[in-house]
Amino acid sequence: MSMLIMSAGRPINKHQLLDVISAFLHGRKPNTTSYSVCIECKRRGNVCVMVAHGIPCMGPVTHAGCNALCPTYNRGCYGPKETPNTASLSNWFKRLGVNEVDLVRYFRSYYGNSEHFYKESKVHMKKRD
Amino acid sequence: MKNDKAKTKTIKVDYLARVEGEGALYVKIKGNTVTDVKFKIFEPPRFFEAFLRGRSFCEAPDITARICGICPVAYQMSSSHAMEDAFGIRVDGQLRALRRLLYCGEWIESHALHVYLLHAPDFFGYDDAIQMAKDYPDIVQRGLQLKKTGNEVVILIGGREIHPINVRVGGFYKALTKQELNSLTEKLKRARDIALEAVSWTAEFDYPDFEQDYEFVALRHPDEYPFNEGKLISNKGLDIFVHEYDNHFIEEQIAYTNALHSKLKERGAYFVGPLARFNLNFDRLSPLAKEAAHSAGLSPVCRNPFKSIIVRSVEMVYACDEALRIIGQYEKPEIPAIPFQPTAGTGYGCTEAPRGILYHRYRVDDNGRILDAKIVPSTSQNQKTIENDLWQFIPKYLDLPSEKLKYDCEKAIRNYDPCISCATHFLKLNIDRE
Ligand code: SF4
Repeated sequence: MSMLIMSAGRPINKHQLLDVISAFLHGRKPNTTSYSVCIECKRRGNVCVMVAHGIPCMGPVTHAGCNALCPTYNRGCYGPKETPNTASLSNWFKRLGVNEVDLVRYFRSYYGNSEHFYKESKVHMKKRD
Repeated sequence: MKNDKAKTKTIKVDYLARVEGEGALYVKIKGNTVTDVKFKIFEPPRFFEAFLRGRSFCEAPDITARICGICPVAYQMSSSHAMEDAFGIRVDGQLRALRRLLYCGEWIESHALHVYLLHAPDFFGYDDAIQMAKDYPDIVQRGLQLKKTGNEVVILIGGREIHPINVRVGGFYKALTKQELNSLTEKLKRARDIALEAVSWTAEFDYPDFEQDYEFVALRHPDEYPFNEGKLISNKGLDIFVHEYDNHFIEEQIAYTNALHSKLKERGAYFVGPLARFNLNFDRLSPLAKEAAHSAGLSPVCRNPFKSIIVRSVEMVYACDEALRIIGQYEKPEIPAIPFQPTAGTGYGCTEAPRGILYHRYRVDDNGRILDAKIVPSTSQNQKTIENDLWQFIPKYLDLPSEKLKYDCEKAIRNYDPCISCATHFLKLNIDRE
């Protein structure tokens, strides 16, 4: 259960929580999306904060469900998703001028111990030191 | 009489209900004397101050907000102000007003929860608001409606009702339009009417005759009822700037509780929260809130902590009133946050969380990275006063049957709306009678 809730990215919203509980009670698979926050962000018609304003955004490696809350408020998102392409995102962040120390920080906040985020943060730990 | 012989009695409340977080109370009574009172917070320590080391200054509002699901805005405000103090910047004008509006939303949300759902059942002898709702459905529904309006203010400005995402050092990520804020006006007017009803409703409750000579501590601002700024003052002579906090207050580790006890170096226990704010800032309330207090028979100085439920209701009237005033005068600021460069230094912030003053101090380096952090939430500041109250309160009611005494002790603790998750950064009750 807890894995499932974790994997939904960010703090999950109340509809996701209700769905997970109801799925659990009915013995069915929870109805969670598999795509990233970017899809929700596009659907909301937001201007991409990364492309348009150069603000690092974790949306591409974050599970949808929040309805792209942070980008809607003109800020970048903060993590995570299953099988995310973290290495590619790190490269994009570097191009925006994010240094190794800050990359470690991006991958080590609320979900710093999730497998992909942890691995990615270690890569940048090494480069930092 | 036979029972003159020293008999020991213990009152134990293993899990205090209707408080935020996990705590317990242990009271030992020998004959007619209370010999021990321990207010124990066993919510595990949460190490937030250590998590913050090495993080960027801009993460402090997001990370510290996670300390509390009820008053995240307070953490965001105190941390932002502390960082702004470190960098020597000031957030003024409509951005400042927008922060104040967000804080109004949190006060309404938090106070409505405590008045209607957590504390009122104590005055009617119910175990919880769900039982109370069977007999008083309309009242509970009004409370929920009030809370919902508070939530809506926080959702609109903050992005979501819990752990908002829109607050940043220097202001906001996105500034709201006048039109967006106007959507709250009718709801806030209705909420203000409900809050006025709450004042007259709670004024009718039966209050125990219990007054103490407290030292009340709150912020004091030259012309506003305090939210974000002011000097720290008390009714016993304290009058200091926020950056002088550490010279006057000290935190102590106590073996039986996971939350540090905070005290005034010179005089010991003190009292923070709605009652302290009301007593020290009555003259700064809006005319409507003052009138509501007067009609409820309340004027400063009120020394009966049980009456804090009326004061909370008065503060809800004020928060709705103030929110409406801010919206009426609002114009969208040109930029959502003021630009600045982080610089090395130490910053201090103290704002009025729903439960009282919340102090933050940060030391940051030239890159804006946090070197160390200190956070003193309101509940750890009230812990000593909560224990003192029980020392004084229990001897008056020793004749009561244990179950009733236990219930009344819990009620006395709830006067402070303790937020245990914050304080560990707590309730379970044990009364021991010999
Ligand atoms: S703003 Fe973030 S979530 Fe939205 S499209 Fe850009 S990268 Fe994806």
